[in-house]
Amino acid sequence: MMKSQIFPVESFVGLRGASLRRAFLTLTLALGAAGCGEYGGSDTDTSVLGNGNPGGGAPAGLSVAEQVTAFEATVYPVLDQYCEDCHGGSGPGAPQLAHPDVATAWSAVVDSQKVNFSDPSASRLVRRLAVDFHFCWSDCAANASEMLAQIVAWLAAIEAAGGTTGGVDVNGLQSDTRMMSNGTEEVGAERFDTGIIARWDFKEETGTTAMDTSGVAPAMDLTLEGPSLMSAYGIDVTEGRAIATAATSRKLYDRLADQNTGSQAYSVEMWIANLNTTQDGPARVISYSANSGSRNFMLGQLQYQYVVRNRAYLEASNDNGGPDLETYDVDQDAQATLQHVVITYDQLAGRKIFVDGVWTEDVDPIAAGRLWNWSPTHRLVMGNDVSNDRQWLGQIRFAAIYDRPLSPAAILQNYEAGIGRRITLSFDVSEWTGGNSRIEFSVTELDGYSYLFCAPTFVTDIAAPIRIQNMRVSLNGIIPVAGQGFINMNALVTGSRTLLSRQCSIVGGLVDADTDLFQIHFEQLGIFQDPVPTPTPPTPGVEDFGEAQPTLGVRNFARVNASIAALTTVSSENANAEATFEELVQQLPAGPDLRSFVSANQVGVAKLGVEYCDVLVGDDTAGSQTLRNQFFNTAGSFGWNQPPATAFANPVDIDMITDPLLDKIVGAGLRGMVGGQPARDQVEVLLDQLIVDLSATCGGGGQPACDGTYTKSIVKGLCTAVVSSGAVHIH
Amino acid sequence: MPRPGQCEVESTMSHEKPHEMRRRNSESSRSRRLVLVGLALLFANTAVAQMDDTDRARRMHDRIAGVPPTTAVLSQMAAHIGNDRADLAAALAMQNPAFYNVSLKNFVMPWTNEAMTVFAPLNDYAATVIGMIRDDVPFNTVLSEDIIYTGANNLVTPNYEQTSNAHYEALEEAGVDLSNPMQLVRRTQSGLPGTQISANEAAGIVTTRAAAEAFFSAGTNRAMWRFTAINYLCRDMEQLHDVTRPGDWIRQDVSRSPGGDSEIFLNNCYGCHSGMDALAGAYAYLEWDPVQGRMLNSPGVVQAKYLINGNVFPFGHITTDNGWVNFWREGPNSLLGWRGASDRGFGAKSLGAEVGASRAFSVCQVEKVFKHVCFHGPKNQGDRDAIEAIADEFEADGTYSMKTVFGSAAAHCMNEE
Repeated sequence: MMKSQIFPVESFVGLRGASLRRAFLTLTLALGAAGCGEYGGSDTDTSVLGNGNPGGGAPAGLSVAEQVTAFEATVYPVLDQYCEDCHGGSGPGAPQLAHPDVATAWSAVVDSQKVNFSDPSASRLVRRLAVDFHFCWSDCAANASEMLAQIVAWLAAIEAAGGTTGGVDVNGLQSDTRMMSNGTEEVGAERFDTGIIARWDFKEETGTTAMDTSGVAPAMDLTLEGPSLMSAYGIDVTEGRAIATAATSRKLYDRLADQNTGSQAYSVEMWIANLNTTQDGPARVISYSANSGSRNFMLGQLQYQYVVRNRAYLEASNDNGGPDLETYDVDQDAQATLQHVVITYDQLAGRKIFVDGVWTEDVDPIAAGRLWNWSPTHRLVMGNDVSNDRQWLGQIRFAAIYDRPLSPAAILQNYEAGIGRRITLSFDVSEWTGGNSRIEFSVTELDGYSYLFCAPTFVTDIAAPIRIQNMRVSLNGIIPVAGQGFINMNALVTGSRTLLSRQCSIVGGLVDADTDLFQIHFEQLGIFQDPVPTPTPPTPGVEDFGEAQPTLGVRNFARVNASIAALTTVSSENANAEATFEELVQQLPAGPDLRSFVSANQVGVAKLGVEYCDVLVGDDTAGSQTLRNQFFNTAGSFGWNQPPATAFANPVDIDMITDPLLDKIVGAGLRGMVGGQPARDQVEVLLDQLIVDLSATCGGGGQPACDGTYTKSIVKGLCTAVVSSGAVHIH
Repeated sequence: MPRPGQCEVESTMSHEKPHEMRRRNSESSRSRRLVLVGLALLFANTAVAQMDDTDRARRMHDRIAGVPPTTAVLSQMAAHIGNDRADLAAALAMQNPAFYNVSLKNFVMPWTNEAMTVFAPLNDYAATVIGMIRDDVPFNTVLSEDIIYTGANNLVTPNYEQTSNAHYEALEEAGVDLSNPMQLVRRTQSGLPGTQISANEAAGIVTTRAAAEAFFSAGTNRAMWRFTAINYLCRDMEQLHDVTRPGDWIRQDVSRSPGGDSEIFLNNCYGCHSGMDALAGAYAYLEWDPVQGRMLNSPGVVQAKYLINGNVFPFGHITTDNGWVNFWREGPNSLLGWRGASDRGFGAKSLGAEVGASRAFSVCQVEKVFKHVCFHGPKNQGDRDAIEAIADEFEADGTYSMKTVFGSAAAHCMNEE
C-alpha cells in the first residue's frame, strides 16, 4: 500500500536532505492519520517477547484484504481444521482464531498477538503447541512444526507481495554519530559497602599507582610494578605485581586480626578475569603475605580452581595459611572470563568462596579460629606474591576488603551491581521518524578490544507506532560482521520508552575510547528501509587433493579375523580362535592404510593365523580331523602320522597339502601381478622351499622328533604362512 | 610383448614346472629354488599386469565385504562385470554376511563414540545404521526416523534394555548374523519397552541409547550437533566456522571475553557458536542419565545443562524450548545445499530432517563409503566427479540407498592400479 500511494520509490532513493525527509514524513503521517494507508504496520504489535526480538508485528505495506489472503492460504487451514471446535466462534475458546469468516479469524490472530513475524518460532500459536502442549491434534512437536511452517509460509507470502519489509528505500538508514565522550556516565546499581576498609576502583587510567578509595586510613595505595591501568577501569596484569607498603598494609592486621581491635572476620571482593585456565602455583590473585611460604590470607588460581588460604590460631592451620580451601575441580569454578569472586571468613563457617554471586558449596576443611597469629609486617599484593615468584595473569577490575563476612544477599547485590564504567549513549533518529526520537544504549568497554552495547531503548514523542528492524552498530565507519546482537531484532514501538532487546552487541575493534565514533544502522526504521542484501557465498576454491595416497590397503583387525576364519573354514566363534583374537585385537591393524602397517601388526596376524591353522589341522584325535579332512579333501592318503621325510617324500604328497592351501586361500585362477600380489606359482615355490627347510630341522639335538606330530606342525606352518601373508591381507 | 627385465623371469618360470623341479635331487633343487624365490620376489616387486574381470571382482568383494569371495561367487561377479553390470556384482558381494558383521560394523562404529574409535562393542546406533543399509531404508531419514534395530525377541539374553547395552553385546558375542532379517529386526523407538520417546520425537540414531551416552553425556549437548556435522556433513566445526552469522542464539555460558580478550570470542568462538547454538537448541529436552544408564526426554522442560553458567554472560540467549534455527542457510555454509522444509523448527527430528535433506549430507555419505571401499579420499577431479555422480544416484527418486553407493563406489575403484 505504501509504495503505491506515496512517491515512486525510485524518486526517493538517494534522497539525503533531512529537510526533505521531514517534509516527506509529514505528508506520510498526515495520510496515515487520515486513513489513507498504513505506514508501519498494523496498530497492534503481534509480538511475543523473546530472545533479542522483543517486537514482532503484523506486516506492513499490504492492505487488510491482501494480508487476509495470505493468511487464508497458509495458517488458516491449520486453525480451521484443528482449532475450530473451541476457537471457531461457537466454542469456549477465545480468541476466535478459527472463525469461519477468514477476516475475523485473521483479526483475532493479529489483534491478540498470536504470531511473531520477527521470530516465527516464538509465535504464541507455535509455543502453545510446543511448550504448553495445548490440545495438540497428534504429536505436539510435530504439530508445532506444522504451525511454524505455515507461519513462515505466511511471512513468505507477505514478503512476496511486498509486505513486511515494505517501505521507502533509502541508502544509509542510520543514526547520527556519537562518541563515548558524548554520553553520560551511569551511576549504577547500589552496592553494599558497609564494613569496607579498603577499596580499589582502578579508575586512574594512567600512572603507576592505584588508589585505595575506601576513605579508611591509612590509604593502602598499590604501586603498579608491571600491571597497567585500563581505560575501562581496572589493571591489566601482564607481569609483575601491584603492592602496598607494609606500613599501610598493617591496616588489615589492626582491623581484622589484632586481639583487641580485630574483627576476627573479613571478606575480600574482586572482579577479575583470569587470562587462562592453565596457570597454577597457585597463581596469586591477591595475597597478604611476606613470600611464597608465609601469609595471612590469599586468593589464588589453580587452573580451573580457586584456592583460599588463611592463617588462623589453630593447630591445624600453618603459617602459609594452609590447609588450602579449594573449589571442587569438577565444577571448574575458575574461568578465563570476567568473574565476581568473594572470599569470606568468619568464626562459624571459616572460609567460603562465592563466584558470580553464588556460594561454591566448598566447605572449609578445618574449623574456624582466631586470627591472632597473623603477621603485622606482611604486605598486601595483587597479581603475584611478595617474593615475585607466583605470577598470576589477567585483569583486576575491582577489589575491596571488608572487616566482616558479607552475607550471601550482600554478595549477590554487589555482583548484580556490576563493574566498570557504563556510559549511556543516545543516537538521534528523529530525521527518520519525525518528532524527537533516539535510541539509547548502555555502553561499556568489555575489555581492551571491544565495546558492549546493551539495553537498546527507543525513546520517542511520536505517538504512532514505529517499526524498527535489524540494527547494526558501526565503529569508525565500519560495521563489524561479528558480534552484532540486534541483527535479527524486529520491534514495533508503540510507547514513549521501549526496551528493544535484552541482549547486547559486542562491537569489536576498540582503538581509542576517546576518539572512537559510533553509529547505528537499520534495515527498517519507520517507513524507510535499507535492506542489507544476502551475501553471495564465496566460490569454493579449487579442491586440493593432497598428497598421493595408496590405492591398496591392508585388512583391518576385524577383516583379518573374518578372512582367516572364512579361508580356513574354522568358525570365528571357535573358543580358541575367539580368545586369541580378543587378546590380539589391539595388535592387529586398526585401519586399511598401508603406510601405518608395522611389523607388530604382521606378528599379530601371524599369531592369529597359527591359532586358526592349529584348529584346522587338528591332532591325532578323530574329532579334530573333521575340518582337516574337508579342507585337504584330496589328502586321504597323506601320511599325517608319518615323519616328514615320509609324508612329503613325493611331489604328489606335497601337492595334497599345498594345492588346497593355494587354491582355497591364495585363490585359484588369479594371475600374478595384480597390485603386487604374488601369483599362485610363486607362492607354491615358497611353500615347497619351506617344506624342505622345515623337514631338515627335526631329529637333531634340541630339535623336535621327526614324527607325525612334527609333520602336522609343518602343515600348520604352511597354512599359517599362507593365511597370514600379504597375498591374503593386502587388497 | 614382455617388458624389459621381465621376459627372463617369465621364461624361467614357464620352462620350469613345479613337479619337474621336485624330481631333481634335493641339493640341486634347493639351490635352484632359492634362486627362484629371489627372482619371484623381484618379479613381484617390479612386474605389473593388466587387471581382468576376475581381479576386479575379487577386489570389489574384498573391499565391500571385507573377506575374500568363494570361488563360485567370484566367478559370478566376474561374469557380471564382464557384462558391464558391476552393480549386480556388488549386490552379490553385499550378500556376504561379513558385509554387515564386519565391514559395515567397522564403517559405522567410529560414528557412535566421541573418541571415534572402531574398537567398541556393537550398540543400538551401529545396529540401526547396519539395518537401515541392509533393508535399503532411505538413508536421509537416519537422523529423523522412528526406527531402531534390535535382535529378535529372545534371540539372546537380555532383550533390548533402555538402561544397558548388554543386548547388543550379547548379539555380538553370539555372532548373530546381522544380514538375517529374522535375527536383526526393525522396530520403532517409540514402541520399545520403557521408552520416553514418542514417534514424533524419535530422531533416528540421534535418539538411540548409544548416541545419547556418547553425545548427551554431561556437557551442554552441543556435542550432539558437532558429531552430527562430523559424521553426516563431513565437516567439523572448523569447516563450518563463519563469523558473519547472527549471534543472538549464543547461550549465556559462553564467555564474550575469554581471558579478557573479546577478539578471541569475535574471531574464534563466535564463528562456531553463532550457528551451533542456534541448532543445538533442538536437543534441549534430551539428556543422558549416567545413574540409570539411559537417555531421558523431558518434553516441555529444558534440561538444566542448557542453563548452567548463566552468569558467564547474562545477556546471552536463554533456552526456553527445543526450537532451532539454521543460520548457516546463508553465508559460506549455504554451499552445503540446504533443501529442508524450513530453516527452523522444534526438536531433533525436524533438525535431522533438515540435515538429511541437504546436498552436503548426500555427498558426505558417498565420501565416507568411497573412502571405505577405495581406501582413500578423492585423489583427482575424476574421483570428485564420480562422488558427485554417485551422490546424484543416491538421491535419485528419493531412494537414498546406501547399497547403491557402496556398489557404485566399489565399481569406481575396482580398476585402480
